[in-house]
Amino acid sequence: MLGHLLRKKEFCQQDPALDPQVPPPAYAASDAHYNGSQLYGPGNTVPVASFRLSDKSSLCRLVVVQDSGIRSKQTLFDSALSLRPGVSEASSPAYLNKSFHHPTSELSALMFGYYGILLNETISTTKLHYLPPLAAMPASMLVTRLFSVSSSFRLCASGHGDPDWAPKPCVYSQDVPVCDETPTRLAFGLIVPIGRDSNAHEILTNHWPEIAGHLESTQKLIVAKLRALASPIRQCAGAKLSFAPGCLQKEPDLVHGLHLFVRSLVFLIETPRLYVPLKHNDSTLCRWAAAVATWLELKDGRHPSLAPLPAPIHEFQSTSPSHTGSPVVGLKFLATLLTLILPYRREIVDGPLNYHTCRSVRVVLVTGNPVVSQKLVLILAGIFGYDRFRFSKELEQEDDTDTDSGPSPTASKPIPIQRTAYQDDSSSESMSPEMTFSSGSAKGWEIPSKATPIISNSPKFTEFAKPERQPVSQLRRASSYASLQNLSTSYGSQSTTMSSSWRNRLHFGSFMERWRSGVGESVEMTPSPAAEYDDYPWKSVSSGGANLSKLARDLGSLDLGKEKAVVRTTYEIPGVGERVDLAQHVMATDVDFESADVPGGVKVLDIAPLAVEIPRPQVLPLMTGFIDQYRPEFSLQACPVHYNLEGQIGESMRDDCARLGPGASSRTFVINLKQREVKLMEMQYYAEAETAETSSRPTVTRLFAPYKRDLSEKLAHDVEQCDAVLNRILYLIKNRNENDKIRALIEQLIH
Amino acid sequence: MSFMITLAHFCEVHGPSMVICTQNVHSGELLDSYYGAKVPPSSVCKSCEFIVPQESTSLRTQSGDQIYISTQHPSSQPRYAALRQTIMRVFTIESNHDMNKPLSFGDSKNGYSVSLGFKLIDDTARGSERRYSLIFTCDSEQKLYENYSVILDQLIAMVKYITTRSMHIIGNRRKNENNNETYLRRGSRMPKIKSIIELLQDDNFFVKLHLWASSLLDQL
Repeated sequence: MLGHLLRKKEFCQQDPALDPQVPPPAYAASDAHYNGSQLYGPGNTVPVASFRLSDKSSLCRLVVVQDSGIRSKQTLFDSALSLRPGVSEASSPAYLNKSFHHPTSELSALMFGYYGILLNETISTTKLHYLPPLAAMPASMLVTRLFSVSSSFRLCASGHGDPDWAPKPCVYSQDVPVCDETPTRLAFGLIVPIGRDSNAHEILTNHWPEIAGHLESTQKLIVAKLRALASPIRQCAGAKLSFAPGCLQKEPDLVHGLHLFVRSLVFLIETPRLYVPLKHNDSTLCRWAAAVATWLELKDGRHPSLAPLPAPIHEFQSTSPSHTGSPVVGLKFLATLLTLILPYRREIVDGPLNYHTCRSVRVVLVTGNPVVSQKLVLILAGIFGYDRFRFSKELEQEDDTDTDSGPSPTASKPIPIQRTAYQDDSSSESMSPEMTFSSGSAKGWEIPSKATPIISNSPKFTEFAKPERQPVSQLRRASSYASLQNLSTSYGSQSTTMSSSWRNRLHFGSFMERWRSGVGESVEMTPSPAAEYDDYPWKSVSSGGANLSKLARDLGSLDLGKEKAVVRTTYEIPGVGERVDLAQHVMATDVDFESADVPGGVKVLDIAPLAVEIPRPQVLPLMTGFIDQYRPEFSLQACPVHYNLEGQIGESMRDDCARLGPGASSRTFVINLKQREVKLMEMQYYAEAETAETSSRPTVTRLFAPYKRDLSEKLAHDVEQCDAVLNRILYLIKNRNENDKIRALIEQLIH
Repeated sequence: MSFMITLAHFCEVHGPSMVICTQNVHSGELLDSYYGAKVPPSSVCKSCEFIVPQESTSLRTQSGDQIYISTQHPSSQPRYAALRQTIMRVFTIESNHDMNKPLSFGDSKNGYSVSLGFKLIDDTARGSERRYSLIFTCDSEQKLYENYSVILDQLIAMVKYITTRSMHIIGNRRKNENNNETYLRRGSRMPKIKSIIELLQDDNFFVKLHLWASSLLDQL
């Protein structure tokens, strides 16, 4: 109690002017069931990674080794080498801390093979090894890429001989060195610490396409560096190239490349992915439908009290769009968005890069307000993954008191260091009413920012995190958020009375309250545009109808909070059922076989198949909620506004095209919630990598803007149909037992 | 998508060789090209021979629209070449600090593989042990790593079954053989060529291995 009072006093002294505007912490209690549970599976709060690579990122290492014959391997680069502090490089060579890192000879033995058999191969080989335990690193893996360079650095196409056996690498790689010269064999290895459990390798194997992409780009980078090194000392053509040991040691690009790789892996492992099993879970469906209803009502300006009983859909279709005479007021933002994006939903669920169709599709929600974006993320993720997300009752945890599924001891870390830094940056500005409002309203919505992996924990990466931070104007918003999140934890309930009076006086927060609960009384006061600049600034059509308040009651009475949490990690849902040991199963059975009649005198035995089903984990699609920066690894994400966002997206699209190879196309839907517009960025593969670097820019098309009227007729028709379906969902949500109908409507939307 | 599951053996006579190889065939494909031919006796010995009942050369299992065929070697030439390279790699080139850990490697010529090696103790073998490896090969890098956990889990389980059974048999034999006459005698330790069937005392071992491989492939 004393501490409580002291804290309060301290705060008042700090910032007396802020006093009347203390953000209301009153949401905390009602938020308990709402805390992200919609996005991460029934009953789940934000999942925490069981293995945190970000804590061990300093153990990640890149080694480049040259093969100059049996028992003669030379290290060209090693990120783990460090100089002794206070000693100049000349007097003492760099050393390797052997309790943290494996000796290079041990690594090169694995990378090239023990027995000294030199395979005169030019083709690139990828390997994956488990490394022996070290004092500081109980388990780790080595990813090796073995490749060749020839003295001319000329490449020729690697011909695939037979259609019967034409292995397909993950990432398109164009060429191998010309074979008529003696190539130099080189290898680089990436050492990644892993967890100790039996499936610890999954952090690499589950994200293999991304890793293969990094291997390819690192190989290109090393070849480019070696080429630059080799050109001044060009020997006679055809001679075997040899590089001096340590010649790449001072290349900052290699260090940077390693950091990019680790960051990417950290995001893939630690960012919780969305799990919205609409098809099989009723409570998720209810939440999803409520989100659609809320969106239509609050963002698209639809008002169910004014809508007539929705006519059956075929009637809607028969009336022409301009002639509906529809009382439906407002935008058809959601309908247009779904019409535009749904054709790509399979590719989006498959991940940003689809290697079968050679297409890459991403959806990026740009917003300053994670709260709003979260609703849209829920709507989109649910409908994208409708067929994909599986759900089973057996997934639910027995013990539902502990909804926090992460067994990790690091689970409780609400305030990362990074965000504290933001708070400090903006402390001088934290008195602006705008900021206080937005943060106040956002309080309790900790999920989106929590979803961010805590990169700043590792000192090694802080300097790389910096350039990607938002510019000052953006920082203010982010900081206001963060600071209030901090406040929410430290304040507790002492300012309830204060805050409620504050809220009553200013009518602030009512809108957000409605967002939070998905329902609410009608908005009588339009929120100030400054405060809600991501929101749609119209007035509500009427001041509250009977229907609406009824809807509110219905939704409010949905018993959504008392469900069991689903067992999951940040990136997968474990398989349902006991582990199947096929070997035991097969060996214990008596096999029956009979000889089959096959022409040509071949003796064939027919063996009856075994009916077993191996439970498999469900790796979640690369879709995530709000993260604090644009990440190309995810196909659906919400991220803050960034001055160079389009540049970043364009760069990742170039990477996509390079990875997918000829015929590739990359698309990104950029949905700006502030400007209420949908843009499509497109890019095609260009054969010449050099020209692609400079000249290829994505073409940007504005697909939707609030008052854009030039929709094509076909599109307008599709939008009308989609809108009609959404309206029916809005109507059906009032009735609890209409889940099957809602599902039927979703399927209609999808197909 | 083509998969191959192979039991490879470092034969004392023939070097790295394949003993049984299971492939998947899509129902539309011509089956005849997958059936194995009789392997000439000169190119195999007992320890690397594919021994199944009724002197068959191929085992076949149909499950849905997939057919799984096991033979000693893949009959397609490029597949055979790729698999030979892979087996060479496993036994003579690649190194692994711990034999019990899996090893993965791949390139765009020979395909992408996960292998898990094991040794069976046998007094009549050179060095008193025989080396084997279970190798899973796929022509799509992405597909292999997508299914990595499932594949690895079953490979580990199979290797565990084989080694446990072999240890059990050896343990039983030692219990029965409390005969000082043979102790340290050379006669019983003369190098002898033995099939894994003998080591495991299971005449239908290859049939069961085929069934295991087909069931695993059926899940992918």
